[in-house]
Amino acid sequence: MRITSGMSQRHVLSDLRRVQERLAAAQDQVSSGKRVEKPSDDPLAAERATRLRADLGSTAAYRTSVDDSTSWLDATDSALDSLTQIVQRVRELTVQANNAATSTAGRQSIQAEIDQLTEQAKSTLNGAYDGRYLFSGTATNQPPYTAATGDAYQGDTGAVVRQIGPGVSVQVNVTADDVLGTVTWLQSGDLSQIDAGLDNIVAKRSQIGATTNRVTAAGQRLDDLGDITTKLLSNTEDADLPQALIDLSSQQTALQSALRGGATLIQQSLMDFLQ
Amino acid sequence: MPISSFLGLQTSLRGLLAQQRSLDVAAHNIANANTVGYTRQEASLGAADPLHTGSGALQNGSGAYLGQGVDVTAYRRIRDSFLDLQVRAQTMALNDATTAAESLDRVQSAVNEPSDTGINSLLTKFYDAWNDLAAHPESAGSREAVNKAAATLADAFKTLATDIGNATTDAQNEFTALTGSTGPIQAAATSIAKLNKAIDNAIDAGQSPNDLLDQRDQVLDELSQYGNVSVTPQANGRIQVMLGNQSVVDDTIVDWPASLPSTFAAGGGQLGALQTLTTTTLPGYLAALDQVANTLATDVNAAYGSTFFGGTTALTLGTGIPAASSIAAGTGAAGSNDIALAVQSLRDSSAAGQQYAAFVRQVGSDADNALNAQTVAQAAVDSAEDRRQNISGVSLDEEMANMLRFQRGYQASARAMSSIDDMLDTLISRAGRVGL
Repeated sequence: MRITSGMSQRHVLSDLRRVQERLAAAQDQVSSGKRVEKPSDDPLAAERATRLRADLGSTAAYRTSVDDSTSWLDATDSALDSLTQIVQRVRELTVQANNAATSTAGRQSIQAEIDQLTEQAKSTLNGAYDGRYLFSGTATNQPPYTAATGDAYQGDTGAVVRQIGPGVSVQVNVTADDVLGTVTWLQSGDLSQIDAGLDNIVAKRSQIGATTNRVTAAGQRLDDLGDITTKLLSNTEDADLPQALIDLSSQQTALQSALRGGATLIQQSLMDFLQ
Repeated sequence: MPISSFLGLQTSLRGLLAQQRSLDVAAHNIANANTVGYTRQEASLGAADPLHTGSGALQNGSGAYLGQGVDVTAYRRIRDSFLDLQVRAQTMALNDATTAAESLDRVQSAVNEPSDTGINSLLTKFYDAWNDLAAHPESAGSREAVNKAAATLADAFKTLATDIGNATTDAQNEFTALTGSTGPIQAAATSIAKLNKAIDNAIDAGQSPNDLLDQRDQVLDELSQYGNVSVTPQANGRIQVMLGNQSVVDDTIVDWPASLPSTFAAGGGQLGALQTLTTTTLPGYLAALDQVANTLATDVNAAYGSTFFGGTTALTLGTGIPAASSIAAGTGAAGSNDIALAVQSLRDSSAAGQQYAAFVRQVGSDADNALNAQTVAQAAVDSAEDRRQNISGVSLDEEMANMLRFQRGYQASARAMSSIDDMLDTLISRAGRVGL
């Protein structure tokens, strides 16, 4: 093949350009740490990364719901704990009052204490979490009991639902109507009624406990899922750094050799040797 | 028939002149070593017509042909027109791929995926806002956040659709500029028509218009970056040129119209790429994006129970609710969140996200294909150009060697002439002076 002067010059230039393109690509990977910066870098990986990022977003959102549900459930549980103690105290007082040995004055003071405890029970269930009434069903802007309406429950029967996974919902609330209802039974002095009420509160509490367990387990699953998705995403779009660094240095070497080779090639001509 | 004593002088003179011409051609080649489109030339030498002497020239009484030296028979242009076709075909493919790659690269920059700021992540943020509203159905702040996330998402759709629209408009404008009456194709057509005429005249006058042919081939090379160039030879070195299915020049008449017929197809090259971009690729992207917007709007509105998103295309997508405060989180009391939950769970059930990911892959693989095609075509252009340079390019080393050759030839002819001169000197000055 005849190699003309224009040809060797063009070869040197196009080789240099190619090496420089590869060097820039290697440099990009090293500096950004990403293998897929544009969809064209790897279209399938870009699609996968797009979906994995959406999955990661959904996992994070469900994780937020789990945290919110846990707080709600914890607040509910602690309110029910206080309520249990109050009702137990009411039961003790009722047993005491039913004792024939108790004097009338004693009964009156017991009556006064039970009245106080009843108010305390109502105000416990009126407790709010994050500005919302926990025990009013979905009427969260409405306290379950008000002074004006006395012992009657003011909320609704709606379920407060949180989604803690794709298609997985849990009810995180119990209503004051379910746990306490119309409060008059606390003051009834009827032990069997009080025992039944106490049993009901304990049952509701264990129901809340079971939901808490379920939500916590879901949270752990979401954490695991998030870890796996993050790893997958990293595998999909992150650069293999050692590989990228080796690429970079080998491309640098290639560029230097191309420059050196080009410099010697372009200089030489028959004119250097003819006198 | 006697032979003139001065025949040798004439023979040497022819040698001198022929070597000089060859040296001139070498100088012309060297001077044009870096001229784009230049074809190296060569003075073809041939023995001059011999002198026929009548009978009695040889011992046996027969006649003979006496050599009279050398003549330049032609100034040859060393070129293979088949290689021209290859170079033009590859140039066309390269420009096709380059134009597509540039436009698609612009679109994929606008798409901006995978990232934390593209539509994909705004979609996630939109669902996140609904999830937050589901957790705080009473909150005005959460409603505000939903409203803002929806508006940002709709804006992102609008921006991307506008970017794709702009890319389409730019491609159309580029097409018009290239094909218009002040564009490069019109200029090439005019120049080919003129060259056709000049070449015709030169051939009529019995000359070989090598440099004019080079110029015309150069114009054809340039024309091939715009589309599929086909050349039909006509009488006296003239050519008819087609670009795609449209005649550019016929004879010495410019055929390229001021406005192209709608049936024009460039068949490749820059114009072909622009045509594909404006009629197929970019509108296809817009349709795919519209599809995503439509799915999103339909699904969200169905989950919301009434109009949340107005508009069903990427450009027209927008929140259809009067104010943030009127966003409904649930159908029941203040704490009910069934609507918010339904909308947020679309992140798993709606096809919009997957359609968008498929759209990203489509844009990416189109851009990737164009970039690959560009690399391949660049290599093919380089190799075809190498093959052409192999035949037609000026090699300075070769010209140097030729110069030496012709210089030596010139010196030897001059030496032959001076020997003949010496001989004549002997004859004229010294003959008949015996004994002096």
